[in-house]
Amino acid sequence: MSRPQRARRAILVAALATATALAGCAAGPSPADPAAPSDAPAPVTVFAAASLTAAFTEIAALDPALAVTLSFDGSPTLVDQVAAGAPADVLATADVTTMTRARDAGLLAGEPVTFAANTAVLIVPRGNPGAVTGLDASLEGRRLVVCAPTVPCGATAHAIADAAGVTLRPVSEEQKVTDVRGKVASGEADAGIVFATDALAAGDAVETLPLPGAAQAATTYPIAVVHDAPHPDAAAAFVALVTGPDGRDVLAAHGFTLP
Amino acid sequence: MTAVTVAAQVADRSADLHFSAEPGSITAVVGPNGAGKSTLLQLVSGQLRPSAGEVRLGDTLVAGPGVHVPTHRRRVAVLEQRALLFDHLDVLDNVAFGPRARGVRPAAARRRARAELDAVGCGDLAARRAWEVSGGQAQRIALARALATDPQVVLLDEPLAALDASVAAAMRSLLRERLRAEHRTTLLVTHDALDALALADALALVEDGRVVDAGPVVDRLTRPRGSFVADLVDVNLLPGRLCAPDRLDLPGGDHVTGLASGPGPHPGPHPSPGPGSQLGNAPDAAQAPGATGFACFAPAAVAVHADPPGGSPRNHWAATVATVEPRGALVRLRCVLADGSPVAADLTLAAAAEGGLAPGRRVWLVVKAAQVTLYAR
Amino acid sequence: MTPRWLYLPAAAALAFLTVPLLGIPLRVAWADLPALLTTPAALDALGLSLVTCLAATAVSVLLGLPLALLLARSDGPLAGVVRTLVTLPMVLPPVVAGLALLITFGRRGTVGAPLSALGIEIGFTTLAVVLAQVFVAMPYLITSVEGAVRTAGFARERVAASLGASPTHTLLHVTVPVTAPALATGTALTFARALGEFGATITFAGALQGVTRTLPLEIYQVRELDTASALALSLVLVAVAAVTVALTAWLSRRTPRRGVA
Repeated sequence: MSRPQRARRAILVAALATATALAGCAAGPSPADPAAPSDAPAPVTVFAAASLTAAFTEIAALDPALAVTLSFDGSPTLVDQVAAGAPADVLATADVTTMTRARDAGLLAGEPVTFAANTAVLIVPRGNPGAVTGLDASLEGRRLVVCAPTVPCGATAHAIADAAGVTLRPVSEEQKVTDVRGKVASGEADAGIVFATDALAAGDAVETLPLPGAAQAATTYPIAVVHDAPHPDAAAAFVALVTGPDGRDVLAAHGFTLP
Repeated sequence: MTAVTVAAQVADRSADLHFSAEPGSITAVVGPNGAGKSTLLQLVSGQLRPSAGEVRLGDTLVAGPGVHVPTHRRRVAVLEQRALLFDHLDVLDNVAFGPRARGVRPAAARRRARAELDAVGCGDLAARRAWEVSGGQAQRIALARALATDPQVVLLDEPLAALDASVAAAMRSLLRERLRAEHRTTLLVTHDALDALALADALALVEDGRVVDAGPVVDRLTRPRGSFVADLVDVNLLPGRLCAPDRLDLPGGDHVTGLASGPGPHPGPHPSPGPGSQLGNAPDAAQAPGATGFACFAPAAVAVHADPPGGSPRNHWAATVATVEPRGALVRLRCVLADGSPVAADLTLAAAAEGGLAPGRRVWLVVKAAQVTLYAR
Repeated sequence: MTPRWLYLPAAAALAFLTVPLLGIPLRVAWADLPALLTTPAALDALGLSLVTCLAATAVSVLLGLPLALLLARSDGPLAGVVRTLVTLPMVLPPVVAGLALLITFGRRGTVGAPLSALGIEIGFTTLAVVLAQVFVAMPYLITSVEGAVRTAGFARERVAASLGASPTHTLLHVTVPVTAPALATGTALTFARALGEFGATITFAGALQGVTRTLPLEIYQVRELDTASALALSLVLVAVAAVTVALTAWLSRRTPRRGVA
């Protein structure tokens, strides 16, 4: 490692430590000491996609033997951080492509495991004022809102529509999936295409209609232990927790589909 | 030529104004600041609605119960201290503005404007932008603009106050020439006795929201009947009782000897009878012994002595110095006679210093009889 | 005498404000600029921004000018309240403006619901974009014109009335020409503000190419994936803003200011 690289790594670590301390999400003692006695919680640092925030926060509290530090961000950003030497133990991304990039860069210890999937659904405002029944003629003259094709939820929506042989005629292409959900929940739009997890988080403000072919276009979430993990044992324990029955229950409760 | 008649109250300004002007006359309106001069002008121009009473221009009721003719339909032109030309128009179009606003065709309006500009000696400025002319020129152009509308009444609100002395003199003679030539009924608000004397036929004094005196301007300025006009013309004015045509007894026992002034008929307006008339407009009485009268003399005519003067000057009074004000190269001494009457005296700085004249000092005032004019009331 | 140490913080302030703006022309791919600005998405965004901003500016002048003229003549507590309300959208966070518009003109809004019942839908239309722009931009016109009218005073209008000009003649031939520089300045500011409008539009009008996706929304859309296009479009906005500010400064310098003694 050249000098500038090492310096950059030091800065990144310092920044991360600060961020973690500020966020106050450290559940136990600092994960900096690998030689901690076995009865103290084992520290583990998890880098996870932003859409996993609610589910992983819940899962991290399940095992008192683990002191989990969570860092959420966009999947590509997480991979860039790990490549730059961030002290992550576990990496969980929102798509296979990004994880493959991490694996090809030699950042992973072993093969990634798919632990969850997110499918697109059609949502309508409570009471379905537009009487929308699906991606069909019932959308004629109705206001459909989707994500822009350049963001994952938009790409997924278009893939499903293409597979179904339907052309989407949205009145708006939003940059964020939460903006789609907001416009449907407020009744401004008659229907929108979002991920199942987003639909679930909207509570009873929206009604969910399944999209045929959504499973084929689902985005999958892989998880893996990082090659340079400071705490490989605790990392393996956390992956086992996520993929185990307790983790799966939590994920399902948040709207994820399970492999 | 249109008469102006005002008999109106403005409640929120505590004004109760009774005034009339003969058709074609020029009336100087004088009075302390805030006395109601502007209120009078605004009642005539239509900017102000009377709370009671009425305003007539000629035979037309322009303000009264249930009647209010707006300013733009009164044909009352206004010239203020500031020329207030329209900066976005050239000089010619400024003057043509009034005719154009009244629907005169552009060519005719410009012809008229050109004639008015020539009449005020500004014909060569026609193509200039309004903001390119000097202050004096701007005021001439503003006069041309006002007269181009053929106003029934012209209101001049201190039109010379913002001009340099030399420019003001030229503007004064221009106003005189133009207003006389046009025979337009004019109200001129001024703080300058010279303006009033040069331009006006009549003088109206406004105090505390009332027209308290009105009469021929020459008469009212040379025989001031109140301290405001006396201050305006800057002369000493001692009221007393005429015991002979050339002798006035003052209330304190002193007497004044001077030249008798005869009455003279003057054309001009007269105040309407009403609660506003406090002094009224008593006709000049013959200088009968025992009648009330005034002595009038200039502050420069007063000599000040520290000791009783030798000889027997006709007019010498004991007095006390009240205030000493420097006035350029002179000192204005304000003294008080035994009866409390104020007398102003102008001395040179050197004379004042030599005499050790300070407030409280007892002095003797001496005035030559030839420099005192006595008026009857 | 100005203390010399003032130059140091002053230079820092200048650098902080100018360096990021200079960065855009420096980073723009000038050779590709014609291509970047003529993609269908870019052309749609440019055209839509031009049309909506012109419409928003026209509406602001037609409605804002009368309000400014009336406000300039008004004193008293009510006028003060109105003046505060009118300036509020200038300082409001754009997203709040968008929410306010949504609950007013949205389908379930106080005005939008009755309109929706009549079959008139505003949300997700170009009209919604114009509404958002008028809401945030018209205050600039009102405040500049009102200030100029107050500064100019009403003496010239009184003169015009004494010359026989009716109130309407006075308005058209004195008030408006006298305040023309301020009107031009206010109009330029209004146009610039409308052009930059983003938050209220994205909250209220949505984003669809050619319908509601104006230049700022297009930049927001492509900024991560296509930095070159985003920079090229940003350059257009910076250039328009620079021209507007320069025009405004030139107009205010040109205004005749006679020294009235």
